[in-house]
Amino acid sequence: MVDDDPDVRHSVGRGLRMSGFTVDTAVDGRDALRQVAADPPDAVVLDIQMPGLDGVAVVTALRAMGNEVPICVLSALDTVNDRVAGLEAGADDYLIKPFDIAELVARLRALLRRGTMLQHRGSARTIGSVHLDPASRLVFVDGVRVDLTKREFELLAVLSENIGVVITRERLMEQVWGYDFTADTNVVDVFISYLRKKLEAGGAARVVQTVRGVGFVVREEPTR
Amino acid sequence: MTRPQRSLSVRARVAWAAGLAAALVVLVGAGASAVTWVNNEYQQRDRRVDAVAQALASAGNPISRGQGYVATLRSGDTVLESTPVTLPPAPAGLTTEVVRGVTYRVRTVPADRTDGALLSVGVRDNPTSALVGPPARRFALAGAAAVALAAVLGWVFAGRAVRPLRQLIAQTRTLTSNTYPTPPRVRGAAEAEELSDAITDMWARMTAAQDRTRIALDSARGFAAAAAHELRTPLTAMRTDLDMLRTHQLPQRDLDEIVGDLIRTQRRVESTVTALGQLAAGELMRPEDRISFDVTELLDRVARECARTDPNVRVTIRGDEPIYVTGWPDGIRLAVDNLIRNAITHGRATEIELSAAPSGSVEHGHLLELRVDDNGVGLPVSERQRVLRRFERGPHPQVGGSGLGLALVAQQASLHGGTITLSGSALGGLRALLTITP
Repeated sequence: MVDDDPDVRHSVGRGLRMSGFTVDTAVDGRDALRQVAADPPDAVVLDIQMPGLDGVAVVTALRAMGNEVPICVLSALDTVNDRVAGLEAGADDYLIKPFDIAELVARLRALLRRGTMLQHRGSARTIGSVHLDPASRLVFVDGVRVDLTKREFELLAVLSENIGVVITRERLMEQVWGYDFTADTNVVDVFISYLRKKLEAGGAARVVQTVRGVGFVVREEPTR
Repeated sequence: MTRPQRSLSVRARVAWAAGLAAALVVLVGAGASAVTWVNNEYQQRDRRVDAVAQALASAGNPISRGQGYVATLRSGDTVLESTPVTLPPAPAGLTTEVVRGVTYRVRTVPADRTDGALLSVGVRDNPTSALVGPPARRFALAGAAAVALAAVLGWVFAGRAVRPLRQLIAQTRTLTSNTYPTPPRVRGAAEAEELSDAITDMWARMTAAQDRTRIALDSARGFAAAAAHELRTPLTAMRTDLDMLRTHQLPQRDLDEIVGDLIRTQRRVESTVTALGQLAAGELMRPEDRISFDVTELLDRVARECARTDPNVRVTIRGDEPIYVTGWPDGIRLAVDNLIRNAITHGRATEIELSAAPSGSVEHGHLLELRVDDNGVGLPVSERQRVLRRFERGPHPQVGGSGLGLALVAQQASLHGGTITLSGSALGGLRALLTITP
């Protein structure tokens, strides 16, 4: 549990402890990296806004080192939009301050249960200009490799398992994050927007389509 | 989009004016010419009748050969001889006679005879309109042509004259509020140049004002974002604690701890809100609210208040001479209060010394120095600048701090034309030096 504010660190740490977790606290980004290296945790709860090394830097550093520990970032956004600092760098989930500790606990439990890797069956597949290979966990757009974070890859893998079949946000939450409880599904939309941004960066046509009121579908032709 | 009806353009006005002026000149010229022409015609006619009268008077039998004239030779009331048209009797000299509806200019002279007969010779007198008619028509045609030419020339030259104005209009239209193009510059007409200079000046003033507004807005936005973060952080802790109380059956020991934390965090929110209000109030202090007040007395009041709220802290004041300054006493009070609170809360000081003294350096003007010395833990040199900024905390932030205390002091210092400097104190802790213009 990483937060620069003693009150938050103390209260959230205590809340998690009372919910059955073993909690170590870190006061800033540098401290967090040191502690993760010394005693690898099963999951990290990370404040984004910190002096010095901030949350985004911690996520980036951990992922660069190949550390796939589940990370839930705590964001202080005023409005919910499609940009949550830290997710693009490879964090798994986010909560907006102030949050319900019960929701944090549920999400952490699911992330821990799911483990760090999903096993995707199915063969390599091509949708429009996008090519996905589950075995090597690589994605190419027009032959150019696209770097996706773990959750982005899993989102695309789940969606492309059944091309043309609409999948609800709840189902994606369950399949990609292991969330089998009712929760805010906005995290799906946020990751979808990142996924689209990366896939369409080179001008490729959209393959991840929104079906309003239902969910998302992967198909080649844009919906009219 | 429909535009409102525009006035006549300068170009059209100049063309109109040129045409009108030409018309006026033509009219006056035509009038004067007509008068001269007619007078000239009359003189010609008189000379003609004179010449005929002279010739007839000296000839033997003059009248029978009348051609182009009428003549009557009369002696008394008796007509001796006459052309078919008989002129009425007239005295010697020039007269105008009307016979059977025809006007004649008549010259009457004594005939070259012994009986004293009078010879009247008349020539047809054309009416003035008949004289003036044909040249007037020519003149009218020429005049109209002149007027038209003047208007056309006016239009052409006015177009050249207003070209700088047109350029100015085009350039001014390209000015937009969100870019910084070069302001309009035109040459070619004094008025247009003046106008362009005036627009340039106005543009400079406007962009300067806009920049000030933008800076103020940016600072307000940054402040709002920082304030929101400062409030959200303790609220996150409170929310977590409340969730724990709500969802868990906790032993009394944990309950007491959580409730204690809740109360402390709530105070933190309160002090942050208070400090934010004070900062905002500082921004709104009005120059007309400045008054002259005794700083020593103010320090004394602060010290007595502190002795009441923190009996374990000893606050002493050095010097008891009244020192008068002009400023906002509430602001100075707020600043000194915050410095003392800072020394107690963050420096854990037990002894605080307040002093006020004028500093006499000539080149910096006369300033008043307010010192707050404490025997607390002090602050590393590297931190002494940073903690003065808004929402910045020291290396060991205490629960309940708003992160705004020293920022409030810095604000008051700058409002009073001074500064706040942190240094080491002889008492062992921190010295805060607040200078203000007295």
